[in-house]
Amino acid sequence: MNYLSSLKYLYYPGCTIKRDALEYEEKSLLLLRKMGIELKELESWYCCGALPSLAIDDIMSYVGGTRTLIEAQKLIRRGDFNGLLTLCPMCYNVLKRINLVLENDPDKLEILTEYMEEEERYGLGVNVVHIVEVLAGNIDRLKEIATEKLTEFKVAVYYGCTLLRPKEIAIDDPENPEIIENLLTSLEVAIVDYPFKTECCGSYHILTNRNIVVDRVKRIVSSALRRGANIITVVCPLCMYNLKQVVKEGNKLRAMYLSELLVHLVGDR
Amino acid sequence: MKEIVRKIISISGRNPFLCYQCGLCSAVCPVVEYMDTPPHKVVKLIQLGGEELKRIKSIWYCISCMACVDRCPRNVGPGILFEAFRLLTLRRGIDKVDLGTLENIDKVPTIAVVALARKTTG
Repeated sequence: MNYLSSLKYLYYPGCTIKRDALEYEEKSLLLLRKMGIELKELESWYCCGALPSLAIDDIMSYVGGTRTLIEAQKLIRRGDFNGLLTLCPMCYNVLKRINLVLENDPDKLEILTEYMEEEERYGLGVNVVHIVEVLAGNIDRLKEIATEKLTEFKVAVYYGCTLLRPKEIAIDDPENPEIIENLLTSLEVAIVDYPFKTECCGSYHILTNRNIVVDRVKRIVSSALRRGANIITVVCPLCMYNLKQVVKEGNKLRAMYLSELLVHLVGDR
Repeated sequence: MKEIVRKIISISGRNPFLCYQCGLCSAVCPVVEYMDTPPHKVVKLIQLGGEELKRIKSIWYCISCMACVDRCPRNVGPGILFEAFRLLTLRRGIDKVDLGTLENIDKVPTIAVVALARKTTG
């Protein structure tokens, strides 16, 4: 896979990062700053919709995401940005899929453009990236600043769904992703392999069928534990919330955002 | 062709008649054990177009994780047919979930609420 290596990105936080995952944002921004990667937050942005509609006639559901992409397009034209970075995998997933649909179906882009009455049309091609891709693409910078050793950590990586499916927008091989494991291994962090790293956590069933989430997460977590993990690392605020239904403070296994884990490696000042 | 089947095809853009019942969708579905009818059987019932279709609850358990869509060897994409199926209800203005009754709505990450609203309300 050809990783990205530019050092200046626009940043699209999305609703959840600003309301429910402030510590994830804080650690991620700190980490990128230490790596010499500059971010500029979008001045205005819209909810992406979290899950895109799968219907072929549901063009309305692309409006929010497309408006955000147009905001990014304006700034990219003026500045030297290499793409639009997201921390939330659901934002990543939706924006990538809107790009994909509109690139493959010019009629939909036409209908959307007519409908939205934005000051400019979306010209396609805003490069949406997830923080994991940027970290993996700049591993040398990470190695340079990684002064600490985490010898006591045995890390199970949990990817969840939205960075890997649908496969057209996956950040790595959707059946056997290794991008985060490779990143951690090159920083001398011990990895634990287990079979459920791309299994769904139960997602929004947390609102209506909590038992489904608990069952799913128990399966994922117990497998990681059996293989000797003491950290399970995630990149999605909803996966994190769902994992914490089972993984509690003081347990043998801790749930930790990837950014937080990496900040431990580089020291937090 | 039954009207309900014609609509599912037109909303999803997928062809349920290509399904050869391999069952891969049901094997990879993370919520199959909570469903009244497993995904491959729902596709079969769509092919048959019978009255049973209206009683299927499975479609409301599907969370659009795309596991079955990515792996379907016939490009039927059961998860996409499920979305069309849900929309047949939601587009009549019928909500499947009353968001006002959810106890933990202000505690969960916002994406959970938005995703639930997108998939279960019209």
